[in-house]
Formats: sequence, C-alpha cells, structure tokens
Amino acid sequence: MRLMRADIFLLLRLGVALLASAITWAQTPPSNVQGAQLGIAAQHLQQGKADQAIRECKAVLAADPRSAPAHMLLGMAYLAQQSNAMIGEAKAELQQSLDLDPELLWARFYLARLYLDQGLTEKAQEQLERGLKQSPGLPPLLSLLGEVRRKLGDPAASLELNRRALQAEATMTPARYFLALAYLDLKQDQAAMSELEKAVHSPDATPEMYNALASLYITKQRLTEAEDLCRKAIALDRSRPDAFLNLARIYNARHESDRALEALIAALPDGKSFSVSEYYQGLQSDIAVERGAAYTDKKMFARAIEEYAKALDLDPSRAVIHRRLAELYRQKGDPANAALHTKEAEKLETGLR
Amino acid sequence: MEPRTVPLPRKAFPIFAANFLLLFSAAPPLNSQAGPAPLSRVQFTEIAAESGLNFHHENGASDDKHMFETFGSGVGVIDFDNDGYPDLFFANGADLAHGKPSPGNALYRNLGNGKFEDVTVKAGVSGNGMFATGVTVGDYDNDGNLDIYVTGFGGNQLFRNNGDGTFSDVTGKAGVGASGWSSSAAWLDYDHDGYLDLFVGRYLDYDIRKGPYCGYRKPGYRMYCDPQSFDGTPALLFHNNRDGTFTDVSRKAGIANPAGKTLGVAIADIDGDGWPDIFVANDGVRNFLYHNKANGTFDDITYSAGVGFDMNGKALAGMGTELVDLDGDGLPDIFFTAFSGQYNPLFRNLGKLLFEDGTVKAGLPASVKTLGFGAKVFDFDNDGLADIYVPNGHVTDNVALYDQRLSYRQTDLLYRNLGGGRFREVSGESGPAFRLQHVGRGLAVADFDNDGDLDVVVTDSGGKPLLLRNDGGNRNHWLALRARGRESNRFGIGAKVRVTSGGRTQLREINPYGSYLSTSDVRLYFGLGSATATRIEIEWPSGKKQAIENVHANQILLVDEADAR
Repeated sequence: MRLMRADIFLLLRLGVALLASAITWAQTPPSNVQGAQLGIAAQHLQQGKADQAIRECKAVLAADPRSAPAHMLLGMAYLAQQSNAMIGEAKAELQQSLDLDPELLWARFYLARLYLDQGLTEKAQEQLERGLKQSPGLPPLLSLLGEVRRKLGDPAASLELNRRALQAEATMTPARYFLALAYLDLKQDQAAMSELEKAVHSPDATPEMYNALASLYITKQRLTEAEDLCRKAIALDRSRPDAFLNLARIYNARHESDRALEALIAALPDGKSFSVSEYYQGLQSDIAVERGAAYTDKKMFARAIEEYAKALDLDPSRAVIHRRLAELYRQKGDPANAALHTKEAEKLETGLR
Repeated sequence: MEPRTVPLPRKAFPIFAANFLLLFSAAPPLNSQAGPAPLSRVQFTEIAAESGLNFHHENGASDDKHMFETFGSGVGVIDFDNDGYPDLFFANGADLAHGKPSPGNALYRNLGNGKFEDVTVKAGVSGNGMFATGVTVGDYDNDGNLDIYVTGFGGNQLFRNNGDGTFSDVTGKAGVGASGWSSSAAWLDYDHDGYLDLFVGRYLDYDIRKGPYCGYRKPGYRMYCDPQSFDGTPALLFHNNRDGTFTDVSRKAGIANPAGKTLGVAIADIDGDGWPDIFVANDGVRNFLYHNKANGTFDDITYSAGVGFDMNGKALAGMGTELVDLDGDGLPDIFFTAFSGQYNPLFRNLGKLLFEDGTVKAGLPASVKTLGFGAKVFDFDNDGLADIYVPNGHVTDNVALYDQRLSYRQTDLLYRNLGGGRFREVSGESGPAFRLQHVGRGLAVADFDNDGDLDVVVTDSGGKPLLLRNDGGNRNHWLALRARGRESNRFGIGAKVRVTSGGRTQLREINPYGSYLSTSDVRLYFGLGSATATRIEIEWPSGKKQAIENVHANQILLVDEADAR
C-alpha cells in the first residue's frame, strides 16, 4: 500500500504552534497603524479566516510595500487557503519577506516547508540550515530538517534530528509524525505505529497523521480502528482524497461494495479539477483499483475489468492488477486473456525481485 | 501559411519642411477635412514567405521537456541601416537537450520592395549559440544607430551597431551579460541623464541538469512543468554610465524582487510626472508596478495601485504586456495576456496611481480558451482608437492528451476599439491570417512598406514567423513621427506625443517595448480618421516641449529636440 503524498496546504497544519509564534512576533512590529492592522491579520489567521487576513495584509502592503512581516503573514495566509493554486503566491511573499528581512525565521521555516512539498529538498535543506545558524537547536527547524534528510534518503538522520527536537519539545506532534515516516522507511512498522498513535492523541493531530495510521491498521486488518481514523481525518478536511480512498479499501475488505463506491466518488468527485501530477496519476490508479474490487464483489465483471484496465493504463507497473484481471478473465471463460495477464504479472513480479 | 504574391510598395519622397522633415509620404497631402472614409474591413495578409523571411525558430523541443523549450523567441524591429525601412531581427532558440548550439539569430534587411534579405552573417549578429529569447532595440550610445540587446537562457548579448551594416558584441565591456534566464527587457532613461538604461526581466531559476518530471508517467504524457515548481529570479536594472559600460543598480533601485517570474515588461509614465514607470507581468505570481520616484529608485506600488491580481484576487499567468492609453483619457492603461482558462485583463488607469480591472466593462472576454503571449496595442485601422492584437499558442505540445478541448496550435485575436473604452473581436473578419493555427509568441508592429498603416510580425515557437501586411488601414489618414533627441536620448524613447485632430487628443509615448520578448518600430504612428491636419505637442524626456501646428496627415515626420524649448 502506498502512502499518499502530503500536500503543502495540508501540512501547513503541522505548523500551527509555529504560526502562533510567528503571529506573536508579527503583532509587535515597529510601526503603529500598520502594526495594528498586522495584528488583526494575525488574529484572522489564527481563527482560520485566511481571506480576511489576506485583505488586511494587502492593505498594509498598499501603505508600506516594504513591510517584511506583512509579506510573511500574507504568504502564510495564502498557505492557509489550502489551495494548490496559491502556492506560487505564498512562496513569492515568503521570499520577498526574507529579501527585506533575512532574520524572519518563520518565513524561512514556511519557505522550507514549501520547498519540501514541491520536491525541492536541497533548497529546503539550505533554508533550514540557514535558519538553524540563526537559531541553533530550534525544534521545528530540527524536525523539518530531519524530514528533509529522510526525503534525501537518510531516514536515520531524520530519527536523530526528530528525537533531538522531541527532547527539546516533547509535545511537538509533527516531530512524531516525521519520526513515524522515518521508521516506515526503515521498515519498522511497529515503531512507526507507536509514534503515530502518540501523534493522533495530540490536539495538533492532522489528517495525514490519522490517515497514515489508518493505512497501517488496514495492513494489520484492524479495520474498525482504521475506519474511525479515516472519519477523523475527513472531519478535519473533506477535500483530501486519501482518507476516502482508505475508507473504500476498508469497505472493500468487508465486502461492502456500495459503500466503497460511494467513498470513491467522494475521493475524487466528478468535475473536480486537479493538477496533472504523478500524485494524481497514482490516486486515479488507486481509485480505479478499488472500483475494480468493488465491481468484482458485485459480480459486475465487465465494469471491474474496465476499471482495472484504467488503472493499468495509468500505472502499468502493478503486478497485482494483472493478477486480478487474470482472475476475472478466468471467471469470464477467457483463458487467452487470463494467460496474458498472468504472464504480465509474472514479468513484473520477476522484475521486482 | 498561404504564400501571397503582392509586393510591398516602395514610396519614398523626402521633403524638408519648416521645423521637421517629411521623410515619407504615401499619399499627397490633403488640405481639407475629408469625410469618414467608406471603410471596408482592414485585412491582414500573410506574406512572410514571399517576402523572403525564411527564418525558422528552433525551440529545442525534446523529451526532457525543459521549460525554455516552451518560451519561443521574440522579434525586434530595427532600422539598422537608417534607410527608413524597418528591418527585422529574430532571436533564435537552441536544442540544448542534445547539446546543440543555436542555429543563430537572424537579421533581415528590408529592401523596400516587399522583400527582405538575410544579412545575419555580414552583420555579425548570429549570437553565441545560447538559447536566445528576447530582442530589445535601442541606441544606448546615442550615435544614431540602433543597437540590439538579446536576452536568453544562459546569458544575454549586447550588439553595438557600428553604423556600417555590422555589429560588434560588446556584452563583456558593457557588463550587461547577466546570468540565468532573461525574458523581456526594455530600454528607458529612468534618471533623465539623456542615455538609455536597461531593465531586464528574468524568469525562472532553472537548472537544465535538474529538470523535474511533470505530468503522468506514461509514454508521451510527460509535460512541461508549472512555473510554480521553480523559484523566480530578480529583474535587473543596468544604469548607463555613458561610456559604453553599465552598472547593475537593481537592488539600490528597488526593482530586484526575488519572486519575479517575468515574461512581459512595459514602460510608461503612468502618473504624468514625467518619469518612466515600469510594469512587469509575472507568470503565476503577482505583477509588479514600479513607480519611479525621480531619485534613481522605484516604489513597488502594486498593492495600492490594484494591478497585482485578477478580478478574483488571484495572480494570473501574465505574459506579454502593454502600457498604453486605451480609453482616450490620456492615462496609460495596462493590458496583458494570460493563460488558457484565464483572461487577458485590461486595467484602466483611474489617475492618482490607481487602476481598476476594466476587462469586462471594455467588452473583452472574462475567460479565454486561448493562451496569449504577445500583446500589442496599435491603431490598425487608423481611426484614432488604439486596438489590441493577441497572438496565441499553448505551452504544452501534448496538451490535447490531457484536455481534448485544447490545442497546441491556436489562432490569433484582434480586438477593435469601438470608442468609449469598448472593444469588439474582429479576428474573423480581418483576413485569412486569423485562421492560421500556429504557436504564437513574440509580436511587433511596424509599417514595413511605409504605406501608412501598421503591419504585424508574429513569431512561432518551433516554426516560421508570420508577416501580416495591413491592407486597408491607410484608407484613414495617419501620421507617423520619428524623434531626434538632443539632450534626450537619440531616438526620443520616453517622449510623450499628443496629437490633436477633430477635437480629439491622443497621447502616446515613444516606447517600442512591451508585448512579449519583442520591440516594435521606434516610429510612432497615429491614426487620424478623416482628419487631414493635426496639432502635435511633444514632451521630451529632458523636459523640453515643442508644439507643431497644422501638420498635414499621411506623412512620416522627423521631430527634432533642437526645435524644442
């Protein structure tokens, strides 16, 4: 089972505590009227009113285009809008804030966060190392640097950095999540599960923490607990497809195919636009696989074959889909196609070995 | 492209007049007000091949899908030999994915008989093999010969015009080579010292060795990445030291925003204070409007002016841009092109450094399927109202795999100004040229045949340019000006010209930049409708002014700052 890639706007939640710090900082800028306006913007942001925070920040920037904290808060407010379309704008504002005031540590943190989610890990690392020179040992920077190192292929470094972060700040939920991801890379599922269980009991738990744990529970057949976690993830953010996808997996495992199909519709509703990326390619493939499973369960074999074919078209590298197709063709009395897919599955499995 | 056989007419009758030179006349001077010309539609006729423009753009399209492969290149109008006929310079890309240098830029001399001759080799402007993108023409050393600044991926080049049909690469000496990936640039005398300085927009921080994979992992589905995947790069401002060298003053001047992803640059004095301001159209991040503080620095007034975002508060994928008065109120408005599914916005200048998005009010579409690159505001039918041309072409060659409603090759758009700040699309009725599907990028206008109406040249990414002859624009009267600066820069770049006829005053600046990666004719054209005589006022960048009364229509006038006070 693949872990879903985390999107930037979702991971923003990881920094709620940091945001509060940044806002506190921004509430005490030097100037008066603009300072008050920034304070209001910060409050809006804290209350989840991103649009209003954006309006306030823009008003400050209209009066003082060189206000570094206003650029920083605006960047953070764009991130809080949770829209992929605003990532470029968010990055631009954070960069401008740092250009005007390189000491803005939280601008650096969020910029690193953005880089990380865009796959620009080296740039993220550069920002975090620069930040750590400014403020050595700062737990959020250490923790995020750990995640960067993991993405660069060094999960052991992530374990070390996140443990250091947790030593300094035991309640730092994101560090637990990053620890868990590092354990997963190291194939230490039990340790990962333990960290994720701690993380989801924190008030700062985020949808992807719930979902990551749900994924692990599904592999361990702890379906009821997994379902509960998916529902918690969805309650926090209905726009995320991964929790719905996990729900569908759970329902398929229980042969509740109608519910599985409903969950899959919610995962990627018709007409929803999405960016063309490997993530969405994988997601569509995963959804097609689960649809295939649901239709198989409902004995609608033609539809199931159609869905599996769609999944293969999107991701031809998955042997398991060929296996399922082979089985379906066998049931359909089409030995030629069954043999073809069995052969393809074997080829892929041999390749994997 | 459909070859045509109609030659361009050559009509040149230099005549000396009181305080100006009548350089060319396409029709006998008229003494009386004629009635409105019974206009049939102006038609644009594609004549590139028959004119001898055989330039072929190398976009370097490869399976690696490097971002610069989508960029196209610009075109520069340059009368490099001062014979009164606008010549053409095309920047050329390169197949960098396969390590091949550019096949070279191309300079075409306008022979004045409807034909162009390739004089690249003799002129020595082929370039250094880099992936060239933009063409910015200006006389930086005030020697009366137009020079060429070529932007590109991997460095820029400055070619000094030696005045004998050849150019010298003076990039190193001048210190304007820059780095990274430059896009549109513009010459401007931002400090009014009489010498042209250079603003250079830059695009993405892109490393060819680390181009990420974007799109689906399926054969044929790899696509060009969203610019959001990359950092921007700050623009550059080079101050002209008046000795053939330049100094980078970008940070000091306040224009070096690191978030810039510039595609279009336009210059004009937006508030009438006499100092040139800069508008920068960025791709996927907010635009920048830099107000010249008259002390060598600029303020970024984007937020207060209201030009950073679209009508929904979102940044557009800004491409080519123009800063020209479109509604006749004497204040330069902003127009720029944007991405497919967005719209090409028109920001009306309300005065006092405030703008409003007037796209819908102007009758321009609130959403377009096409992807616009170049943009040019010019009066194609000489009715005294500035019109808009938009060349289109998608960035993603395999876009139809993802969305069958979209195509890589697209047709261009022409919007006619109806007056009162309203526009109507007239592409379908303006000739077969508007049925040509191509990958439109750069765009420039010039009166190549000196017949009194503005022709159009459009570059094609990976293909041949279009040369669209304007047939019928000169049924209305017109006036063109060529400026001779003295205290001001030699070609009067930045001079404001007011032309009053028939109770209406048009204000334009001598500013051939804007659009996308391109430079238009430095001669300024005005449509006069049925008016046969006009009054001209010129405000030079030096602050000197002059007025010329009762100027006959249908001529190309040389205005000399020596006659100004």
